Amino acid sequence: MKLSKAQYDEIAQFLGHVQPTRQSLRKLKKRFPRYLSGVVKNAGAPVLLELANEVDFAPSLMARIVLERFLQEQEGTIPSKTLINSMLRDPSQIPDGVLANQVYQCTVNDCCYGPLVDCIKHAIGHEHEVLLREMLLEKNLSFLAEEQLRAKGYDKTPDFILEVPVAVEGHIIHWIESKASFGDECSHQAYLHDQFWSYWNRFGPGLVIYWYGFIEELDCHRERGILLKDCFPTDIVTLRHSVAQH
Amino acid sequence: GISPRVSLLIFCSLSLQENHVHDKLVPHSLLQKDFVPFLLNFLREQTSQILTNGPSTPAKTPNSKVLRSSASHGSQKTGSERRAGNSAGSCSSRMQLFSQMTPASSYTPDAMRRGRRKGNNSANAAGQQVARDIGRSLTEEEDGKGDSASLSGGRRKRSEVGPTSANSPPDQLNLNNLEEFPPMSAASGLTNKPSRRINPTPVSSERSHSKPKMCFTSTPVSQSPAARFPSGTSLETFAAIQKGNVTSITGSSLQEEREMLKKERYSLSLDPSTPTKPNYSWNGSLTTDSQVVTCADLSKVSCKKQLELLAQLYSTCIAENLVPNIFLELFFVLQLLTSKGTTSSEDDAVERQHFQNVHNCVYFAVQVLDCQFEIISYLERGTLKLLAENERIASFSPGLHARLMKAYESSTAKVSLLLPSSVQSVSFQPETDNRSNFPSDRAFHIFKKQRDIFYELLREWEDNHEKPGWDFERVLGNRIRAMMNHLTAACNHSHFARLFQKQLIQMCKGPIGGGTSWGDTPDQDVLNMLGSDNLSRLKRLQERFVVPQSIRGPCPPPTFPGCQQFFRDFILSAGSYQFNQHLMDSLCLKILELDGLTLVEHEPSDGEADMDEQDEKKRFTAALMTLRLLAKFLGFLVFLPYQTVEPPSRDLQESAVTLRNQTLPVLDVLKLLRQSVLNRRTILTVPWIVEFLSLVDHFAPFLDYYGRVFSLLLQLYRCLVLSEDKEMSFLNKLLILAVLGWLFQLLFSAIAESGSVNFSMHVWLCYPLSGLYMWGLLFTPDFLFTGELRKLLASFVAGSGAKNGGFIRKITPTAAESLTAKPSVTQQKLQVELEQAFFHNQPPSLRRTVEFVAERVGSNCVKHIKATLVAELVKRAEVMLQDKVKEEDANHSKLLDEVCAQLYEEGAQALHKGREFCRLKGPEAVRVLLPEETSAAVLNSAEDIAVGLATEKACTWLSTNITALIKREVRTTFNRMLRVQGPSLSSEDTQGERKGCPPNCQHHAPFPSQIINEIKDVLCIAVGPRDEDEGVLYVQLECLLKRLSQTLQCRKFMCPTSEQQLARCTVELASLLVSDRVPIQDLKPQTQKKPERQRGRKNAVNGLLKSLLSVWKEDFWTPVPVQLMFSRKNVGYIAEVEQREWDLFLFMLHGLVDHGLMGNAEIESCLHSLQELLWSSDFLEELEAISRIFISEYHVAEPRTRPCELVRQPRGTVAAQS
Repeated sequence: MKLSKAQYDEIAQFLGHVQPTRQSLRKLKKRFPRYLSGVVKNAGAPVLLELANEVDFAPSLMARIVLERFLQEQEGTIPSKTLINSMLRDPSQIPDGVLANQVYQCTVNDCCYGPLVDCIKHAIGHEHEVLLREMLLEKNLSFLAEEQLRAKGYDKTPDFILEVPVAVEGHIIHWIESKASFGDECSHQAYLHDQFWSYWNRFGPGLVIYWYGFIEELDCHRERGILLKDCFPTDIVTLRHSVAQH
Repeated sequence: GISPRVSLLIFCSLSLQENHVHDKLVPHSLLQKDFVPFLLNFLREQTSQILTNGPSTPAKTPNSKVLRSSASHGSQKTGSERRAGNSAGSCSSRMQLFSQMTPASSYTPDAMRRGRRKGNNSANAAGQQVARDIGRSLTEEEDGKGDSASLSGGRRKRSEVGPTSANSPPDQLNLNNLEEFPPMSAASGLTNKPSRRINPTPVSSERSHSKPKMCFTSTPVSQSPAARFPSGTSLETFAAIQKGNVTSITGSSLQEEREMLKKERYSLSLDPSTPTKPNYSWNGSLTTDSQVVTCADLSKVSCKKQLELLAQLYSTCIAENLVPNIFLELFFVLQLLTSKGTTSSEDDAVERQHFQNVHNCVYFAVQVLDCQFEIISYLERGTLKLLAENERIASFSPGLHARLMKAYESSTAKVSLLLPSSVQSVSFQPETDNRSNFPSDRAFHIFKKQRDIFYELLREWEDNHEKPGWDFERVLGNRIRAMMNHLTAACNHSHFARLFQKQLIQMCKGPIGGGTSWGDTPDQDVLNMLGSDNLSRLKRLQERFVVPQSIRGPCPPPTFPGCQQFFRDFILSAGSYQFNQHLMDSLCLKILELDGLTLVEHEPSDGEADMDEQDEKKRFTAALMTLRLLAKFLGFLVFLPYQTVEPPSRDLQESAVTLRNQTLPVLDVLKLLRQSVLNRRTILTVPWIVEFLSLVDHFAPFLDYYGRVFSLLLQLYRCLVLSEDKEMSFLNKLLILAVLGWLFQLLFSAIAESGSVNFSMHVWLCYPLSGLYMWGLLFTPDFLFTGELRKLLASFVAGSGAKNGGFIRKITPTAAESLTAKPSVTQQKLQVELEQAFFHNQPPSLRRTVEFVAERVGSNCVKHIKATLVAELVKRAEVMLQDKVKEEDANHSKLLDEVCAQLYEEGAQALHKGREFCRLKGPEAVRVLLPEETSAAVLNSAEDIAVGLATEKACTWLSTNITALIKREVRTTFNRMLRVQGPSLSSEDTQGERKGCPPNCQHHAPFPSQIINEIKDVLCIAVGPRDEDEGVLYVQLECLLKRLSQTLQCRKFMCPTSEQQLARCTVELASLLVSDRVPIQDLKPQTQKKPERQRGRKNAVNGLLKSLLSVWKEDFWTPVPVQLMFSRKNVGYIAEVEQREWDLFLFMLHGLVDHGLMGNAEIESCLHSLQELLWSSDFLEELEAISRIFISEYHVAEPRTRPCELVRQPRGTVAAQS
């Protein structure tokens, strides 16, 4: 599904999703003491989660902040990122049982961020890669997958490099990257900078498939060599013959 | 009688055959050198007023005074004015063919006239004399007494009239009185026909006031009206002024020209293309004012005979390469042909000259074109068409017209604009780009970033550089320098230089400086090299009065068009010594590689070009283009440190030359040039060397080394007389002459700018081939060198025919030498000769195939050894290392060395295996690639040679590199081993034992992400917060667990992260179930009685737990963290319940043991450690009790047979359950 930018903006506005700002963060830190008093009254009450909802903050991020503060006060030093991440992933490691429950409640209830959601995202990404691989095999397009490329020592690796380039909708492509997400402006820019251009720099033009759609206007680098699609392309011309559907 | 052409030839080549000049001829040798410049300048001057079309053709400067005064004039200017003025000034000086290196020798008749009064030196006088002689012979011929106007006659007169002779018989011409007898038209006294008498040109009033004469060829800066305008346009204006047509110069046209000047300055200031040399691009425009093209009329031509003779003389000079730049002369001739001129000035009897009107000019031009038809006929089709359709040619010479038409119809020559290569990145090649090519991880990662930054800069440039106000240095400068700093820190320069060079080639190798999207700036010098485009453009200009169209004149300075600009600016902004050095290294290497390209000559007129020939041509063109590009950049880098904005002074020059004579050149172009002459490969080598030299700084031409290079080039230029012969194809010569002519033109101006008096480049240029000794004197006192040169040239000239001599012997005779017993030297030599002979009579494709196969098989052999033998050794090393690294984690590098040492011996097998490989694969490949019809004998020989070469290549590499290779590979593996050592590795191993999906799996199971998501939803509800009526349906849970099992069984979409998450989530779910925290709805036995309901509920939960246990045991590949059930948090779920129920917990404990997921002891210790945590006292008591029960039960009964539902002895609420 492709969305025009206007359509996307409308939806985004409708959802009223406002990015957490520094202001709300400050508000949040002020309210931290409330957590303690709340928990003292009732250890089982979803204090932390409610706190997060109150300041319009992702619960898992809230949990992270509180956990950081907690460890900092307990240990006297700023805790390492790995430790925090590990505790968020497995709250059983958190020394304080009540906090552990609170944190877990936050991560489980968060639909956008946190280790659980990250993992789901990762799983979806992987599943689509597998699907794409299937399609490539079905079309008899031989490719090198990421693992093979990494083994060869490539420094940047798209999901698939075609051993023999093909033309999709008249554009030659050398590689295909699968993205199991919606390509909005923000994430696409980041991907361009960190991944797509890097692939172009090494392997030439390529194709990005945003399985969950993208903003149409972002597909503006076709001439330069980055093609966007929201599904596996049908108009593929190989070196020898056309597999076009129509 | 002997034609003037012959006499001139003889005259000019008098000393050709001689190694030394006979005493008697010494003055003549001086005459010779003066003659050509005189003739050229004469023509330029004569035509100066009639020619107002197109850019000025470089020729000469009025006189030395002008130059000097222009210099002083220039020094008074300021800032931008100065820059613009300078460009104009040096434009004029650059455009001088024969500038006044020696103040005394001025070649213009004007100057001679003036110089005469001061007394000239003998050389000059002699020069004038020759001209006069020729003039005389012209007249004699005209008189029908041509027989006597032979060489002897000329000579006699020359010897009679010595340089110092001032007296002449009164009835004869006073030859020394040039005021009365200007050259070329002199000797008129000999004629008896006054009507056809060529009148001496009286000194015009302006000249008598010693004003430098205005001529189209140069724009003397000292002249105020001219100085206001860029060259070319001013001439027109000035000419108009001279003619008194002031009315035609309207204010608006002046304004227009000012605008153009502004534009010119702007483009100068914008375009830093030649940092030291001003840009000479000329915005030529033909104003569409009232001026109308005069209709040229054959019947109005005067002094036909003289014009014909002049045309012949001139043509001879061109044909014999006596002019510095053939194309310049052709350009000039076409200018004459297309001159608009003004109305005939027959009334102006005072100013009578040969080129006084358009008719004469056109007549002369047509004559010359007729003589040069051969060159003309090679012009590009479009130009030929224009010429063929030219009505002047048609009316003046129907014969030439017919030939041109014919040539046009049969011509296939087009200005070959290769398809612009689409802009692409340089592909990542693991062989050169992966981690093993970098000294450290850091360097590798830094380079990864740098590659991306480089392309980011490139894209930014691409998007913006054409926008007004965008400045490369301002926008990109700091980012480039930051990048350079990182490169330096990581010692990554060589990698980056390689990337830079590859990208440069990729983007700029076409004749257009890049794809069309990069701005349509045609590579003007390529077009100029071909010599046609400007001519045709000029013609079109004249025909259509197109205004304004940019013409850069026939000799533009080297520029960096299109995307070359990016690379040039990048180098300048980077300003990195390290980078430049690495880039130069890289460029040199590539240039040498390409210059060694095998050239296969083909029969010139082969009819249909076969496939091979076409490929060959393509290959050659690509190599030539790339070489020129790379050489230009190399020249740019090499001479960059010495570039100066202003021409340096002479004092500076001397010391600089002394200093720099001590250093070695970066690339030995002299050697390469000599080799190319010897091997008859000049067609490939000269164009790029010219490109390289076109970027010399002011001093370089004065260095001994480059002096030798130039002198060799000059000899070459002289050798290449354009005519069809077997030595070299006409077009090849044309190409070389074109590029050399261009270079010489550039150099003149550079030298003229430097104002060096002693450096008499013109002397060589005007000197025929015989002047070898002379160059020796001028350039290097090394006589051996000149002797060697002569030998080189002799071999060049006397080489065998094109058919077999052309290609270089690339296949080295050393095949497999080191591997077999060495035969005697003579044997070896014989073998080499045999091998050469073998290829000699075979089609060139055979040699290429063999070379190719040898190269590939050799390379594949190395790869094969790497993939088999080395990989095997590495595997063994891995095992050895794994054992040792466990026992002692001491010195890793020592350990590595030890292990490697054990492997080296076996590495020696590589040679043997390599030989085997080549022997097996070489013949296969040769057989496939050669035509089916190849005879068995030829095939066998080809195979043998290919195998030999491949073996040599592979084994040489292997024998020197195998140990290093083994060590490198082992080290890489070892490092990887150390990094991945740990639990993740072992889990991968256990996974590896399983074999994917069950048989006949349709992969229809739900995706892992789906299941994780669903479990998450259940957890959410269980953990809360939730609404009163919120809950999870039992069937839903049941179904979820069933689908979980399916998902885990189908491995297709599973990845480790998903599976680990599933494991963790299910343990969490189990904990919540055990503590009865999951609000299960819709339980099947819908009874109202509380105990029953509770029992039913428990049974239901037990069912779910059983499913979970089975999934954990059967379906998970990854270890399930069941220990988490004993974490403070999860046990806390039970603790928080007021009415605690322990039987589910106990049930779980037994289930874990029964499914082999945890051992008894393990559970015991978990329970034990739980009791050490901080709990409420009653909870602690219960925990202890449970612990006791579990232990006792385990010890009493057989765990396996014990029914799980068995009621245990509890306490408190637990007891109540029983």
